[in-house]
Amino acid sequence: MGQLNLLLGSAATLLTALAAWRLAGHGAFHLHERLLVSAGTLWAMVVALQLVAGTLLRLTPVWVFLLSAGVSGTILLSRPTAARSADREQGARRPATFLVRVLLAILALQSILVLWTAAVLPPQGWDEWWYHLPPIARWVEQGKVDLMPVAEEWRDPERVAALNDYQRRYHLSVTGFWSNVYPLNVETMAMWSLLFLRSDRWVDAAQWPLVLLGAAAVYGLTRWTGVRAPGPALAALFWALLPINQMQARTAYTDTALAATTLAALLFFLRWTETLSWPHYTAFSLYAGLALGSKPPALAYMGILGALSLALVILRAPREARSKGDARPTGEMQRATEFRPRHGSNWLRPALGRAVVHGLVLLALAVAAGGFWYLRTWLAYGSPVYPFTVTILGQTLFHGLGSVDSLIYVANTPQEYMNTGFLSNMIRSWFEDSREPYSFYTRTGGFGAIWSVLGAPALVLFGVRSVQSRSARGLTLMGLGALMVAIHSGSWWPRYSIVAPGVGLVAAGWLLAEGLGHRLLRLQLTALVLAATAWSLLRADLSLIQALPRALALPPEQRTIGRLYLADYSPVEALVPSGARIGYAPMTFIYPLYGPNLQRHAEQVDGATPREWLDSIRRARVSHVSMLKRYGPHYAWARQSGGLLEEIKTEGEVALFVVRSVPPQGGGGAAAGGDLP
Amino acid sequence: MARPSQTPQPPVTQPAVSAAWVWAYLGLAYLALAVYAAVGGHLVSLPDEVRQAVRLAADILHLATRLPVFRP
Repeated sequence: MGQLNLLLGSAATLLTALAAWRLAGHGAFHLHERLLVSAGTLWAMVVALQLVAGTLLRLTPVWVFLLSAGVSGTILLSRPTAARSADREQGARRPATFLVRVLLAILALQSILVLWTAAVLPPQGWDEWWYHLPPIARWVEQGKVDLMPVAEEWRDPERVAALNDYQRRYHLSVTGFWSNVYPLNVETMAMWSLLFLRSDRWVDAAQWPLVLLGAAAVYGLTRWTGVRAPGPALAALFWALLPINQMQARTAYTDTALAATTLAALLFFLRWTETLSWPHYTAFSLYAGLALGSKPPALAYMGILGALSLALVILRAPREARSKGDARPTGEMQRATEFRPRHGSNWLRPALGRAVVHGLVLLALAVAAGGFWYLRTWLAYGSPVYPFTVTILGQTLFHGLGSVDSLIYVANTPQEYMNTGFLSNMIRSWFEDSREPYSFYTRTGGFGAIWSVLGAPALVLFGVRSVQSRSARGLTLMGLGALMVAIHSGSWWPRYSIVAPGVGLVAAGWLLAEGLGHRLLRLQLTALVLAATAWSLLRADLSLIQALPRALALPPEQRTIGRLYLADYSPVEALVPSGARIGYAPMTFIYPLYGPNLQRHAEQVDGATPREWLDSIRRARVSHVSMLKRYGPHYAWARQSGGLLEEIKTEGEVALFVVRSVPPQGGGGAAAGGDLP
Repeated sequence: MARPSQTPQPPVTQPAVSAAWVWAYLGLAYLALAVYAAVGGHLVSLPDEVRQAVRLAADILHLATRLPVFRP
């Protein structure tokens, strides 16, 4: 069965990738653009196929394979396209320089390290255990896609109202609630390997391909600004090697995904402003959707780009109308000139019509590629951006539990960043003036010397040069980048603003491309680049490999979350057998309960009263129940359960009880608890 | 606006700039390097980080290959 699933998974992946490549052939794209469109289409198809199977059919390897074979087969059998690669048209070849070769080799080695750590270590991030991975584990296990059960607490408005903002955010985090309101494109992509391999070995590598995708977008942006080779390749490699991207590459978080998709959307938007072609507009719309499906801040970024695109459609209409008039034969032109006032007033209606068509295409593709998650939240909670309250110009557009600031940033802002100003905090985090160690989560650093030494100084000169030479492209790119930084209240937090170096490293690519041609400068620039890269990766890799020695000292089956990261869960791993059903009261981490390769079944058990709670345990037919000692009344209820529950082990904050009157599902003496302490 | 353009656009390349821009960049980059090294104690902690990385690498190499590896 395992080998059949592997075969189905390989075939489904190959067919979908080929279909995505074929679809991307419908436009005259440069090679990097075609790669980007193919990758984006593949990602969107992988998400859509699994969700269609999980909501309308069954989320099983066979159904997902059949769907992918049907959809991909239709695409592959359709008429081949006549469009040719723009690169081939121009015969463009860009020889790699020594520096590009060295950085490419470093990126290859980093990729091996990232993939190896993902394969050896279990999923490592707290947010993964709380809400990124539990929904996909649940969906694969039950074969269907649905909402996670939330705690009773959230059905009682009085209890929610009694919490302060910090408690609200914290309690929300650990009840499966965020799983129901956040978009899950990255997680659903990670589910592809979980579904076909029935193994969570690769879920933590979910963002690794997105680092490469983002690098291709940076390459494209640098080329678009007119930077000569090898500037685009250098900018792309710097972005891929940013410590925050290398550390995020082995987590099923979504920060690199948001940056990569936003940069790709920005690239296709800028290309469309010049080509005005539908392929570029649809590619922009596709990536707008993928960005929306990655993380909610994309709503603001894509809102700006979408509004600009529609405004451009309307604003360009008079010019187009004039140019059409100018192109007429002389006699006709005279008549047109005579009636110019009437002609001038007639451009608006068709312009609005074209804007509506563009808006509909953008909306349809963006919803199909990731925007649908917001419709789900809207249906479930009455607001597409629940639990955030959205207020614009004093008017509340959507009601929620609090603002983004109160629910996210107040609780997460480091003490030394309190009341010190947005710009100051951002520059301090660029230069990493705190002693916070590196991790995929780091709040006060993560861009490393690559950005602070190579990127930020280049940005200053690029800005000056763009103003001086009135470079429309340079100013547009910098302007849009600055706008994206300014509208995100968390831009001081590097992982929330990875898009900023994506735009800014274009400047480093420009200056290096100029400087590497000078004999006197070449050696100094090369040494500086290698030193900054090595220093950045030293700190990133220390974080990446920290847990490897402990893991490698254990046999593979013992490399678990409880043994390596969170000892509170080691009793669950030691005492709850494979195949057992374990219940969890709200506030426990959910994902560690599943065990490696989803070997256990995990289900929430909750109730407003002791009777309701114990009934829910009986109904769920679980053999064990896990809960936190100090959250809610569950621990006290469990100890007074009239013999239904017996405490078998408590480690740290996590208590483990065995259910006495329900027969165990997975067999094994431990479930009965007869020989346990 | 909806003009279907399948024609590749000609490449746009910025005109070359004088070496003064790159010298200015080099100067600013060295300054940034000094600031980065000084703030947050990065330069001070660098030897420790290198030692830690070498030790970790030696441990990992030994555990992954079971070969005797010198651990400084």
